[in-house]
Amino acid sequence: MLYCQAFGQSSRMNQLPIFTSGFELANLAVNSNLLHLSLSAIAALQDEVNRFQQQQQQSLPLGCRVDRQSKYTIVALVTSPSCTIHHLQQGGDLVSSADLKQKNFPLFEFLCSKGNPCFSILTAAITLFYNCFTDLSCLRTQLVDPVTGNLSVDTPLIITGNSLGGSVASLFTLWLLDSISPRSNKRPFCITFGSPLIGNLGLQRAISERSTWNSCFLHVAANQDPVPSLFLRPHIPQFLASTPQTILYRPFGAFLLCSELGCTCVEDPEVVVRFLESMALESTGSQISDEYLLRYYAEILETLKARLILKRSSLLGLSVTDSLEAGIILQLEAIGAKRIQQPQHNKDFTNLVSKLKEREQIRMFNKRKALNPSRKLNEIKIKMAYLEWYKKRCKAKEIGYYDSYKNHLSESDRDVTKYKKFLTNYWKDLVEEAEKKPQKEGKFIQLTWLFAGTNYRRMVEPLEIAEYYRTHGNRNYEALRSEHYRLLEKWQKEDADRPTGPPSNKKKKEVAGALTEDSCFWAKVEEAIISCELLMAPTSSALEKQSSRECLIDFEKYVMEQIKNYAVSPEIFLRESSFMKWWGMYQNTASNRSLIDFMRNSRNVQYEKGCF
Amino acid sequence: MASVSLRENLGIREEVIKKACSVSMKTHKSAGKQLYVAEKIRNSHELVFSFPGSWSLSDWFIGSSFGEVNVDLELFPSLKYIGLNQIATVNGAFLNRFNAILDNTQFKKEVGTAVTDRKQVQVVFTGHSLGGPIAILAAIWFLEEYIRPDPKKMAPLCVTFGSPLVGDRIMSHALRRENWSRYFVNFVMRYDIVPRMSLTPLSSVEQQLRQVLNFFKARSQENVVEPSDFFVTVMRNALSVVSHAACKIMGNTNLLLETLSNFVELSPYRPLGTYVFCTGNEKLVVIRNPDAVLQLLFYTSQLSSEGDLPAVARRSLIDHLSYKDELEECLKMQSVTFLDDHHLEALPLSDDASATAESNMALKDLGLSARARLCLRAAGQLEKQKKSNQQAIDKKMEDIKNGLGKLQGYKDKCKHKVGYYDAFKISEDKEDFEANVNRLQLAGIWDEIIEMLKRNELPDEFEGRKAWIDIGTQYRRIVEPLDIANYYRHLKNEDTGPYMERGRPKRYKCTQRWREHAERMSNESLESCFWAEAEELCNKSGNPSIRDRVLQLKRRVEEWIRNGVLDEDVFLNGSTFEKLLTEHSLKNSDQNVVFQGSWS
Repeated sequence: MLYCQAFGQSSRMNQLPIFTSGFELANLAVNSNLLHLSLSAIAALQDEVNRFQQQQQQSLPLGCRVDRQSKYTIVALVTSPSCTIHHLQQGGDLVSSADLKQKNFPLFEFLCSKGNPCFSILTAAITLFYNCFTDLSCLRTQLVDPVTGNLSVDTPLIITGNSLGGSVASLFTLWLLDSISPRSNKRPFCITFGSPLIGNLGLQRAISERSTWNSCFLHVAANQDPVPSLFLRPHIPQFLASTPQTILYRPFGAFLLCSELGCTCVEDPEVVVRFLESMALESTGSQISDEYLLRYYAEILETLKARLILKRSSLLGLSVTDSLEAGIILQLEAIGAKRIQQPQHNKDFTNLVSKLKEREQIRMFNKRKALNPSRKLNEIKIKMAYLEWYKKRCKAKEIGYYDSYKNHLSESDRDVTKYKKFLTNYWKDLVEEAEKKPQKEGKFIQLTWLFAGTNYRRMVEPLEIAEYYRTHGNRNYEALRSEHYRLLEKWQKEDADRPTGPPSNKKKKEVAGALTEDSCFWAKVEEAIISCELLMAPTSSALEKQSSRECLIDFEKYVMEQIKNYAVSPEIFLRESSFMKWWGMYQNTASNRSLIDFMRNSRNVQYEKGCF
Repeated sequence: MASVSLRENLGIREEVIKKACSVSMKTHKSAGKQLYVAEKIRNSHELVFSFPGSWSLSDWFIGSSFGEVNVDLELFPSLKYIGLNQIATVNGAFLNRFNAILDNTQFKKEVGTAVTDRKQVQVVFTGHSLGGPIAILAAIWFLEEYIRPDPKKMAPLCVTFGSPLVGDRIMSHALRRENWSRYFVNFVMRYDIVPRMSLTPLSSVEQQLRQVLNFFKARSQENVVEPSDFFVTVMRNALSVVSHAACKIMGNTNLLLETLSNFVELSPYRPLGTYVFCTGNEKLVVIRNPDAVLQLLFYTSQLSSEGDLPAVARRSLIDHLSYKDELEECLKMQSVTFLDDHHLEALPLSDDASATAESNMALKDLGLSARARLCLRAAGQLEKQKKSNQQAIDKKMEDIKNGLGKLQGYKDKCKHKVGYYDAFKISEDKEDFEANVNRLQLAGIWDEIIEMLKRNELPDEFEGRKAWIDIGTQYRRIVEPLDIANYYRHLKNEDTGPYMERGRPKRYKCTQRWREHAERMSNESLESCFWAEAEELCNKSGNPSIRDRVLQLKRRVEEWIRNGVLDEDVFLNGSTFEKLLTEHSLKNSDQNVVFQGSWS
């Protein structure tokens, strides 16, 4: 879908000269002290773990240490060397969130949302996490304040680990992110070195659905290290039989990809996969010990840092004039994808470059598209203004916009259908998008939008109802009510979420211009009319009459409550309105004293002025 | 990259540059004795004010990390991002030094005499090294003091040599907006470390910096100093700043950038004015795009190989002291390359592309790698993008005028009733409804402009353009009363708070500040939102103690009407304001008669 859209626009997209800033981002990352400090913390812990192992003659599955430095707090996680290889060999497959739930480990269930109901995690990583759960829980209590939901450390928090230790660091960071209140602006930063991919598309989606989470992860992967690209393609024989999408590993977070020649930083999962693939061609593929790799990372980052202020000679050909293409080729050079640039791979190389180019263009295009959502909100306001005017005019005609639209007699009624359609389409999409998102994320939609949404619902849903009952014989609108109205109402109620006292003076003063709060009010009126007809029809059975009477008594009560709360627009009392029609039919059978008193004495006049 | 003469392009005669250079080097001798030296150029109409450097640490930075402070808006009223009300920051140590000159010397008087001189004297501010920032601040002060009130006066010039950076992005933005940027010309030797130094938190390298300053003070090339570590530190910090900036100009969408920025200390300082880079072999490269200059500050000093480090590090110090000789040669050779935005955008990516072209040779002489060239391209491209955004916005000006025309018509019609404020507040008729649609359409256009300003997507000059300031004011005067009416109609004040405190949209605050700045007003120009105050006073109805405030408001309203910025219809019978005046018995008996007579 995304692709199709983008291709349709591709001619326009090509006109935008764009750049890739992976280098600049990588410079910033390598130049900062963060990677160095993280690696040192890991190395120190590794030594500690090794000593312990030699002394005690037993292996720890996972070691962890909290290092409170002056500028940062660094949490390092390492696995014992024997443990890692063992785990990776044994647990190189994925376990699904459903299975985890079944096995009574639903800790990561929070990653599921309606739009993305399940995900899978590398068995080795989640097993290790599960085995060390007590220690990790303990660690979590040290880091998160349970009352405020903020991080309880004073300095920026870095969670780091290498190889499988890094995978646990990623999982632990996810768990922390879920524990932190969405309002908190301090989040942990997870840096892994040479970690395997740990999840499928579901995990990637779950993380990128939350606007800020994806940027909390930086995975460092060097070209001589076989681990990061280990699960890129299903190398393991049992996968060869069938590889449905759900068991394919996918990256998340940003990747700092490096070789002794240079480095770059990418976030787009598609691009990460392509780069990892090109790097995998260079790696020896043999099993190398974690300790060796750790030293390797330390060396390579040291070299890179020293070389940052050096110019890089480049083989960039004269023929390359496009900025984006040049940027991509330079990046490929930097990560040491030499082989693919050799003449025999010429075609592959060209293909790769054009694929990567396309990805960047799509990203840029989507970014520009998403730039200004508030412009749309303004259009919505204008359409709403038209409806407001329609409502006003109908009121002047003593009929009310509900019934005017239901009767559908004049040109202006037909115009309204146009606005209604526009607004409904807009809100349906918006609600659908918002609903897919995870629960905690910004409480579905921001407050401004929720206000606008409530306003929309109260204004437009009566039109929907009118259309529905216009067709004779239709009953029971509320059972068939569109999902987006239901959700908008639900969110609005969750947001209001306070006991409703007596109506304020402001509410009373405003009632003349206000919209009826219950957007299904008119459906209830229609049902009451139908009940009334049934009650009076000689053909109705006793049972029908009985149930109709009960409905009507409930309705009377409901209406009176609404009136007492100043929750209905006084327009319902207009001469030609369906509500008055109902009252005309029913008044002699009415039983609710307050309502009878209100209607007979025309208290609606006072009501409109806010002094009933 | 055409070869025009330097004089044509910069608007400065070569003799002036030479003179400025020699005077500023000479002035160092009076360091410690005088804070500035004034010298007339013989047989010419320039008066040169030159500022000596200083080699004491506390003159380079004070406070922590980068030592930046907000500028004093009393002294430098233009140094801000007007619409968003962001104030420029400047190196506190430099500002102190300049303030000392302004307060404790004859400087102010001497400049004043020069300006009033009947023979048109051009004032030239100049300085080498730390004299540079003082010259820049002096020139800005001069522009604020003399040119802003009277743009016809002879503009000053500011020529610096190896100057450290003075202020942040907003400072450079403000100078470009005022169209003053062209008066500032900064010469920088390819490797001179001083201009780059501002990108390092100097507080973290005090010891090394002291040694370097001592080296400069002794000005002897034999003086033993091992600058490699210092050079590497400065380059590293510069790299962080330029990488971060490059991510931004390339439109990076990666949120990781923000995460990382929280962990890295980045200098706020940015270049301003025109930069002239000396390649070191008698060529000059002139560039004005501030984003590109920033990139060049790093990339021109990048090493080719590790082995070069000791030599380049040493040169980074020596270059700082060799402006005079180098410039003399350069000016003789007149081999000048100009890199304007359209050149940048299409920069060749490698040296060999057209190695024969003289201009490309200059780029090669600056040692620009392919990556450096991509950054420069991006800087040129961004400026072009901003210009095309501006064109798109300019096209909307017609829509705005149409909308305002309709609302003006509405306003005129309403004069026969209670005035358009109250008519709109009641919203009884089709016209009121149509006015509301117009209001919303205009709000849409203006909100978009404000969003672009926030995201820095418009050229720096945008906020200084008269057409936009004027239409902004017109818009504010006609439409803001409707927003206020809408606000109080829905009683938003009861749950949100008074309009002025909680409800006023940015599009009005911003356009108001435009006008206040353009007309150099000392008071707030609140004529468009007097209704909000009237409403708040109405809400305190029954409270006799507010009579004074009502009276004051009335006087202000009368003044606004006299000045022609507010219409008399506010006094119409039945209007909110008229009711307020009546309640406090402040209505002039004759008022209505006169006004009604004037249009019926």
